Amino acid sequence: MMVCDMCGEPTLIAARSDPEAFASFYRLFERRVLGFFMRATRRADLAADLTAETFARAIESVESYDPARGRADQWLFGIARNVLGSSYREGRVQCTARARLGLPRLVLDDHVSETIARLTEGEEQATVALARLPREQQHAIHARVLEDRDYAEIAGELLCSEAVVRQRVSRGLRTLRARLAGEQ
Amino acid sequence: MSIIPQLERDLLEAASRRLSSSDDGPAESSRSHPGVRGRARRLRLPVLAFGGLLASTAIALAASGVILSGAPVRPGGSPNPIVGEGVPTPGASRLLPLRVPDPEGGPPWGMRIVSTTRGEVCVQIGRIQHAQLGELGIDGVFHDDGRFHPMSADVLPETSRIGTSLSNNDATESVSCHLAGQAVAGEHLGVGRSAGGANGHVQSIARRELRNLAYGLLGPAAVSVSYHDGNTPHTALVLAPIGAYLIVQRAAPAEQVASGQEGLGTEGDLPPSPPLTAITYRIDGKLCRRGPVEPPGTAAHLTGECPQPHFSTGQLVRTRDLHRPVHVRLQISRHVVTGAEVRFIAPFAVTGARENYTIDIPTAPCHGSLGEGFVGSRLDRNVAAGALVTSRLAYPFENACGRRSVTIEVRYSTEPGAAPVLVGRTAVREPVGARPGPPMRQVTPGPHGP
Repeated sequence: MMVCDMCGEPTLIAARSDPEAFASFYRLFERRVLGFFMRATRRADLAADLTAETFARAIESVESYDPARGRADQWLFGIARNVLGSSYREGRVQCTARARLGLPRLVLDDHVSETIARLTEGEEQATVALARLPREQQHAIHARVLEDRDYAEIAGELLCSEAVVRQRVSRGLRTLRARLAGEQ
Repeated sequence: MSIIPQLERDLLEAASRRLSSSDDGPAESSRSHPGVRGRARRLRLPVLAFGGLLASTAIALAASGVILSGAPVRPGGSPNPIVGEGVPTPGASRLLPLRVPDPEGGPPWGMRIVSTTRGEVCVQIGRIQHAQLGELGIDGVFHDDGRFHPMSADVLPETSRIGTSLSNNDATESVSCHLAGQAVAGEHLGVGRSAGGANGHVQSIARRELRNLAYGLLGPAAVSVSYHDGNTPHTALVLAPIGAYLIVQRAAPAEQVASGQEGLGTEGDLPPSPPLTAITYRIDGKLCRRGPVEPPGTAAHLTGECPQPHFSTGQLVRTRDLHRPVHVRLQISRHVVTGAEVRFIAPFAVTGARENYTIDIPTAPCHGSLGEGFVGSRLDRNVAAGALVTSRLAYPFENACGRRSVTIEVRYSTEPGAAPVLVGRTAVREPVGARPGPPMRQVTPGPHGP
């Protein structure tokens, strides 16, 4: 079975028996999960609490994670989506897993709150600009820039040569830079 | 270096605590009382050995079409038509024509849709014999009598509605309820193959004898679901027009038992959650596929991807304040605050599960904390407009951060999505000389302390 190193699978599998590995898993995805919730709620405090609940639920179900059924990042964001959905339904941030695990209340100082709030700064513009690129350039930029994958791997997946992938990334980024610069 | 170092430390300690507690026994429920664990296990052994024999017999008999019927399944708890999920609406339950074989044979698995008096739809999964949904008397269920126990359409066993706590942690999680009109995709992991409540036995049953049930009601736009069975990809058509599907697989080794998750959404928008890898919808006459929710910034490499759904945001923060009076009376016994009684006049009726009143105690700002959310309770029952509502809270000062007063808020919400209405709020002060009552939740100190 293929193990996706970049998706946190080895770390998550190790976390079944090693708490330190779970802390590494948290560090690996903290920024992305906080960004996910910032985008949804636009409030740093809610994003932090939702993130805490998401990772608390991840601790509770790490034993059931099966790499054959999906990547670790997809598994984690599936939990995050459920936490967000149930929080919307209940009209409050879910805290059941944190309560079960006995996690204390989060204390955020101004610096941390500002750091969280800044995670999605300028993202909307970039997302909109990215969505306006040709589809093959979007895929190439996602895979290379956001997923940090090798050109060879991307080429294999997109059934084209490495040179073509490099060209798509290069052209796409050039267009993005030009559009974002033009909008400022 | 993480952005929230405190959370990293807390998670590390929680993971350590959980791991050290799980070392005590491979699959014991975290809710089991440590003091009785050994005794319970010893008592179970002969029962399980006997049950294993009967199980094999029952399944073998079933394969030849001869399985005796036993006593019907009784409802769990004390169902009330105007509280919680309510009770099944007479004549509104439907056994779906889905028949899914069990990996070991025997009666196939099936699914029933139960509509309740509070406007919920419950998905009930069980074994099927003679066009009846039921449970098998194996694996500790029904005293291992090896019989088929039909479940009448007006029976709703103990439910596992998302967001509520279960009274136990065993195989009774084969029912889930949600609001009518919502699309749902969920899974129950490590359910007993009896399909019934194993009263804790499921924790001691070999994983290969447990089942993972994936189910969903995806709505009329759904066409098929894709998933993996081991490394083999499968695609199955859903049952039109409600988009129902049911997948039964053996539980994987080392998988957590008696757990589950559920994704809810609008029809046509709901993405797949494990074990599904994709859902094919027909939107505006065209077939398209929706993949799992990807982490932000990740491309979903699906061909023929469905258009992105529109999610509204910001609903958590918009609140209308009615400024209605809310009365709170502390319940004090021998100088100990044991709880609080909250009373208010309901400005709006609650006629079903879609509407609700909640009584919240917002977390007080504590050493710079921006809040963990709320402590409080949900009414979860029907109320007439203008009625006097009385509700009891446990010790209300638990999260007061050392202060002697808290604010209690009453909110009204309609689900899903509408902004909650703040009915009113009031401050309540802990009397001088009073001592705190029992905490609302138990926090078990681990090796590093909470």
